[in-house]
Amino acid sequence: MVPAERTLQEQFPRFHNVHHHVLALNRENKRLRELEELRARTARFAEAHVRPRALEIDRLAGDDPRYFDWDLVRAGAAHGMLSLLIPSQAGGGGGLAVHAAIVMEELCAACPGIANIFGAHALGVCPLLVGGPAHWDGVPTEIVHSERAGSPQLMACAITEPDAGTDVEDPELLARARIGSHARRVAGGFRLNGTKRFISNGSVARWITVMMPTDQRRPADTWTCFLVNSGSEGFAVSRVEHKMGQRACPAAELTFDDVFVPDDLVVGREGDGASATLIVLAASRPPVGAIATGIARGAYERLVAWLEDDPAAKGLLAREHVQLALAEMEEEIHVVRQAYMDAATELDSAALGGTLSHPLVRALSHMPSPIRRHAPLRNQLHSDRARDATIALLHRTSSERALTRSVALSSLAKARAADVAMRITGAALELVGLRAGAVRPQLEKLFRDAKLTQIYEGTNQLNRLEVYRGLCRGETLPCLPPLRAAGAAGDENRA
Amino acid sequence: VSVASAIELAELREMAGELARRELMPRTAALDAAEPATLTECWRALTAVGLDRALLGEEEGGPELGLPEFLAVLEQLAAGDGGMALCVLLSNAALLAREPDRRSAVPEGARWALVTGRLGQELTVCERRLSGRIPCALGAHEADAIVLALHGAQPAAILLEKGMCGVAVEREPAQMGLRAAAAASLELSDVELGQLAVTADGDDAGAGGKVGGSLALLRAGTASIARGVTNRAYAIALEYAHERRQGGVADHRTRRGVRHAGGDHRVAREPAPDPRHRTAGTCAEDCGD
Repeated sequence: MVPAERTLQEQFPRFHNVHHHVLALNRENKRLRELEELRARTARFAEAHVRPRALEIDRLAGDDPRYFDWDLVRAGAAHGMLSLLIPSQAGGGGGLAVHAAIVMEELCAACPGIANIFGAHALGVCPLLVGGPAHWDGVPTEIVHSERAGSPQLMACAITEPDAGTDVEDPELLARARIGSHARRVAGGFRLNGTKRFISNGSVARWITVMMPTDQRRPADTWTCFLVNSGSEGFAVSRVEHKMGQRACPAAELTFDDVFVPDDLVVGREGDGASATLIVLAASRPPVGAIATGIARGAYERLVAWLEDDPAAKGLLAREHVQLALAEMEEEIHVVRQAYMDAATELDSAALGGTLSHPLVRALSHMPSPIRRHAPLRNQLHSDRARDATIALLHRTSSERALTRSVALSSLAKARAADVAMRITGAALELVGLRAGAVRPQLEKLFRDAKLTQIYEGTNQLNRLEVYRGLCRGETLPCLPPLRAAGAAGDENRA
Repeated sequence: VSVASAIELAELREMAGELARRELMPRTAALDAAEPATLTECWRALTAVGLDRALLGEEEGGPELGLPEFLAVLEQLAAGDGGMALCVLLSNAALLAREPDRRSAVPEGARWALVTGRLGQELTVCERRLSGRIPCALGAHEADAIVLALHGAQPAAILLEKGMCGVAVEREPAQMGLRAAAAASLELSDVELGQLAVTADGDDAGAGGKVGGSLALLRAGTASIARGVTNRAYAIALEYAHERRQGGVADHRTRRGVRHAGGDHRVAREPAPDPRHRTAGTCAEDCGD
C-alpha cells in the first residue's frame, strides 16, 4: 500500500491560514501575540503558585490520596484557568485546543499533577462544547461565575470502566466491549447505574460528564453523554486511588446507584456519545502531548540548571557526551512541541474551523446571554430539532475524513511526546545520579509523572493504531453523529 | 539454607522463590511504605535462614553460598521485594569488606549496609579525621552498622557503628523505589580514622582487594535484583494479558501486538538463539498456545 501524496498543507497544517487569506499574516500575528500573552500569564502563575509547592503536594497526596489542595485551584481560578475553554458568549476565555495545549506545557514544566487538575477540568468541559450551543450556558456559566466569585467549581469526565478502558475510546472496540454501566430511560430523563474508574478530579468535581450506554447490548450505538451533579442522590465516590505520579490530581472510582439525570442534562443526542468521544479525544490529546512536552522540558530545565550551578556537577558540562545528551533532549522537545501544535491547529482550523466561524454560531455568540437563557429560546436550543441542526451544521462545515486526520495527528503527538517525556526524565535522572541533592527528588517526581502520559487518554498502543488507521491507511472513522430526521430518535424514545 | 554440595542451583532457586512468595510478596505494600514492624519481621525471616551472612563459611555462622548461588537467591528475593533483596545484598557486601577474623563477631541478625564514597569529592581526610556528606545512601537508615567503602587511589573500608560520635544518619525524605532499603544521608564530622578503619587506608595490600570485591559484589547483585524485578513485572503482565478482556476476548488471543510485546520481553530477559523465533516460540509458550 502506497500512501497518497500529501500536499504541503497536509504536511504542515499551519499553512492553511496563511495560504487561504490575504489578511492571514496580520491575523496570525495578532493570534500569536494573544497566545504569547496567554503563555506568559500561565508561566507567571506556574512560577508563583505551582512550582514552589509541587514536591510538598506530591508528598501529601502520596501519604493520603484524598488530599486535595483547593488553595491552588483558587489561585488558578484567579488566573482564569477554569474558564479558559468556555465559550466567550458564556463569559469564558473562548480558548481552543491550541490555547489548552500552551497552558498545559507551561503548567507541566512546573508540576504535571497540579496541571492535570486543570486539564481534567477542561476534559470535563469538552463534551459540553461538542454538544452544541444548548450547553454553552447553564453549567459553563455557573463555572465562570464561581471562578470570578473565588469559590471555584471543578469538572471531570467519566469514561473508563472497571472492565473497559481502551475499549471505550474506540468505536470498533466499544461495539464489543464489556460495559457494566447502564442508563435507563424514565419519565423526564434517565437513571444511571454502574461504576466508573480512574476518573481524574472525580472525587472533587461538582459536575461530571459521564458516558454510558442506554442499551448495554449495543453500547456503540447507544453511548450517550450525561451531565451529572456530584450532589445527586445515588452518586458516591467509592475509592480514591494511590497513584504513582501526577498525585496532586486525585483519580477516583465513582459509583452511580440510580442517579437521575433530567433530559436537558443529556449532552447532545442519545446515542451520539461514541462520535462525540472521538471529537473530545481529538481535542484533548494535543494537550496531553503538551503535558508530556512540559514534563520533558521541566526535566531538561532542571538538569541544565543543576549542571550550570551545582558544585557537584562541576566539569560535567565540559564533557562532550553531556553536551550531546543535552542537544538531543532539546531536539526531541522541539519536535514534539511541533507535533502537538500541528495537531491542535489542525483541529481548531481545518477540522472545526468552519463550524466555529459559521455565521450561525457567530450570531449566537453575539446574542446577549439573558436572551439565550430566556425560556422560549432556551427550550428551542434544547429541542431535538436544535440538536439535529447542530449535527447537520457539523456535517456541512466539517467532514469525517478531516476529523479522522485530526484524531490521528492528535494521537501521534500524544504517543510520541509521552515516550519523549519518559526518555528525557530517565536520561536526566541517569545524568544527575543518586546523590545529586535537591534536584533528584524533583526529577524522580517528573519521571513518575511522565509514565501516566503513556497510559491515559488511550494507551500509546491504541493511539498508534489510530495513527495507522487515520494516516498510514487513510481510513475514515465515524467521527460525526449520523444525520437524522429532526427529532426522530428523541421523540421515538420519549414516546 | 543448607549449602551441602548436593543441593542443585535449581532447588536453591525454588527454595528462595518460595521464601519470597511466603514472606515478602504478601507484604509488598507495607514494605513499599517501609513500615518498621514489617521490615523487622521480614528481615528476621531472611536471617533465620542465614541470608544476612550468606557468603560466610560455617565457622563464621554462614551457609557459605558461592557467588552464583547467592546471585540466584537475590534474583528470587527481588521478585518478592527488590528493597528487601537490596538489604540482603548490602549487608553481605558490607560483611565481605570486614576483616575475616572479625566477621564472626558481628551479631546474628544484624543488618549492615555498604555505602560507597569517593575521597576528595564527597569526603575529605585531614589529620586522619574524616569529614563530608554522602546523600541518599540506600539501606543506611536504621542499619546496625555501615561500612563506608572509599574507592579511588587509596581504597579503604571504614566501619561506622550506630550512634557513633561525629556520625549523623538522617533519613532521606523522598525515595522513589526499593523503599524497604530505606535511604539516609550520612553527615561525617571529624570522624577519627585511627580505630575505625576495617582495613588500613592504602598501606595494606589487601585493602583494595576487599573494597574492590565488595563493590564487584554490589554490582553483580544489583544486576540480579534488576533481573528479579523484571521477571516479576513480566509475570504480572502475562497474568494480566490472560485475564484482560478487550472487546470481550482475552488480549493475548486476539492482539498480535500484545503477543509480540510479550515475545520481545521474553527475548530481552533470556535471549533466544534466533530472534525470528520470538513470537513463534517464547511468547506462544508463555501464552499457553
